[in-house]
Amino acid sequence: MNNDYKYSIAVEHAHRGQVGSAIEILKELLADDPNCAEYHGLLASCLLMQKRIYAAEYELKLALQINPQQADLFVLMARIVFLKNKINEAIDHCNRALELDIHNLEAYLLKSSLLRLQGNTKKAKEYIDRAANLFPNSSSIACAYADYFLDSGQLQEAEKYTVEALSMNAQSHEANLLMGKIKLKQGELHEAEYHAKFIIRDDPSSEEALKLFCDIKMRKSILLGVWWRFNSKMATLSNIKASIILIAGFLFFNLGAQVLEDLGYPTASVVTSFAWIGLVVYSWVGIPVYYKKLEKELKAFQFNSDF
Amino acid sequence: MNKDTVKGLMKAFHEAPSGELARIIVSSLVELNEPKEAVSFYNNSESLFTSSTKLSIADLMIQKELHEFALVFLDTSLAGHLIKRAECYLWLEQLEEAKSAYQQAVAQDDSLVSAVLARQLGLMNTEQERPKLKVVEKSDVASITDLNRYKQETTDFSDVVGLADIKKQINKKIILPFQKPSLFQKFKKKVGGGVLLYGPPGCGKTLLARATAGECKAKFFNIEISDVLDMYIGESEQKLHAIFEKAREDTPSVLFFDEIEALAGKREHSRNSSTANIVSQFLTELDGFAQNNHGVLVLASTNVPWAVDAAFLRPGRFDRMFFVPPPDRSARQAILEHHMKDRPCESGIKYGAIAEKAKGFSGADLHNLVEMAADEAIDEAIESGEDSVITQQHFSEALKDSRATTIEWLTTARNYARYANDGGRYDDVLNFLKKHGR
Repeated sequence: MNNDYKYSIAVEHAHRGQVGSAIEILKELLADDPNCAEYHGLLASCLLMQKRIYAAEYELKLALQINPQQADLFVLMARIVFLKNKINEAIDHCNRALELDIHNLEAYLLKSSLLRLQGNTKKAKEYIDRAANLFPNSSSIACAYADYFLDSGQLQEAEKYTVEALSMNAQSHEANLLMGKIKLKQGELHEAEYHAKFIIRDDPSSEEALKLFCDIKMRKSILLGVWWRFNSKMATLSNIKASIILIAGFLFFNLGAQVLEDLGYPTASVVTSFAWIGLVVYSWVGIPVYYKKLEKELKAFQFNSDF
Repeated sequence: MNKDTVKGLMKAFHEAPSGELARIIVSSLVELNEPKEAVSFYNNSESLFTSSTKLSIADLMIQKELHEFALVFLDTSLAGHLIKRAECYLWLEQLEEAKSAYQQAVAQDDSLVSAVLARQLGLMNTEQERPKLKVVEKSDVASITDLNRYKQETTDFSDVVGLADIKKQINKKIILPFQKPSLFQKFKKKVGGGVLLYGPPGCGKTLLARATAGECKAKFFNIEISDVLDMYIGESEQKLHAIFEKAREDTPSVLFFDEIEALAGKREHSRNSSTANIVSQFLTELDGFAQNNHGVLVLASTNVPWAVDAAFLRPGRFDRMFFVPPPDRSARQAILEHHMKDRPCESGIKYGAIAEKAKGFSGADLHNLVEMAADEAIDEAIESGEDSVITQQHFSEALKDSRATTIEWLTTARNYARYANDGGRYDDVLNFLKKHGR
């Protein structure tokens, strides 16, 4: 199997979300040809999908050393530094990408989002307009407009663009998420829930969709919302982070128990010291319960009783 | 970037020349449609350009159809450049130069061999390159009978449980014109044409297509994707043409394409031109512009109608779309009873109650449910060593491990029906969701 063919398989795997196998293939390719910017770039992209930001940045730097002329690599770098909250640096990378390729749609849209985060909404819109001039029929651009209008509280405009995006690609996660947010703001909870579930069914790790889902639950009942939010966060934690939280919980409850004892509440102190055990037990039992509930909830479409 | 900005960059370049700046200037001039200026600037600063930069500028020029200018940027010794030179010369109709550049490129790097380019340059030895090529032509359609395993379909509507509405519609719009062609011809109505059946998987689309063919008393050609697709360029289109020719010769006939999206998928999603060519050929055959498709009914089915190229859904092609919905309660009960026929079971199984619990189950899901209940009964018989029959309890156990597969489809379809319902194409889905969903 030649390298080009292997690479095309890696691309295919990455597109399908089979990131692990894409990474394996890319590692093999890099062992054979360590000076290929494309391999490093795709590997960086895959690592970013796995939220391994620093590893992705390392690979991307290697790719850029080999080929500093590829606009897409700069866009990816912009995404990475943005995740590290370096917005100005991210904008610089977008600028560089646009210098290299004035038709880079992703660079326009990312720069627009970054400018919006900086509060420069006028300029942000200008960049979406520019992208729209270059690509008049793009679902991503319709989403960018929708997001822009949603942010500025113009719900009707936002809905108009989201409908446009969905008409171009009804399975777009971005568009479904936006529609969910719009419907939540409009108080149409059933509709909002449908769109959130639509994404979660496809990608159960989608943080934004889970957040939207929890927000909807929160709107229905604060207690329920808090339960969903807490569990969805706990469920996505790595083992190390979960252990850190449990240790922090242990220290917190023991400290609380000590303070209560010093204040002369021995019973409350004993109860508090047991609360940590409760937290440990819950971290064991709660997450499977959460997943079971989520699975039940994910039936986005339900039949009438008379069907 | 406008011209003034480029002039500014040129000034900056004269102050501090750099390869990167030179590249930006030349690319910008190309973008501004100033190829002569770009070449002149390049000639004065050639030493600053790397071979990959030159190649990327040449690519840009080729994209803009400035092939004669692109040649200036292409080396005469590097394989990657030579192949581009061949393309440019071919565009400029300088065949000898193109051949020479192509041959030099391929001699240096055999991975650059391009069958398309070689064919355009007249360098391909057809026999050698396409050893298995067998062009199927109109005159040769008799030789593809093995390809089209047609038969007189014996299935009819009585074999299709449920789906009363859709059977009625098919009868009116498809079968009657076949049965009473003279009546329809009198009113200049076409007999045949294209019909697309869509819906969740396992709900009886294929069975319905077979039954339609049976009711039409027509020859049924069940075309599988492997009957059409071929690894050689142009071969798939030829096969498709031959299949239609065969159906035209044997009218009345029904051509059935299952999973039509494999052959008629959206062209913008395809990564190679061969897919687009098959789609174009398919459209040509459906149009019947050069051929007479009278008496040929083209039936197709798909689970993903949104993945089918929109050109197929225009009038005169697959202009009749039928939604095959999941079975309702009475249909589910009938399907269960149908599958339980001739199986040992206790008397008094409440199929109505099972059907009630099996909301959203497709026909295939219900078949699977019966199989699972039968497995439960067999396990029980093996364990106890006594004869056993299928009981209500076995169905209850089987239901615990079964799930409705149509829900996922309906969830996706809902979005398309709501937001991408061009020309009311998914109105049937919307009505179904409105009537039966919440």
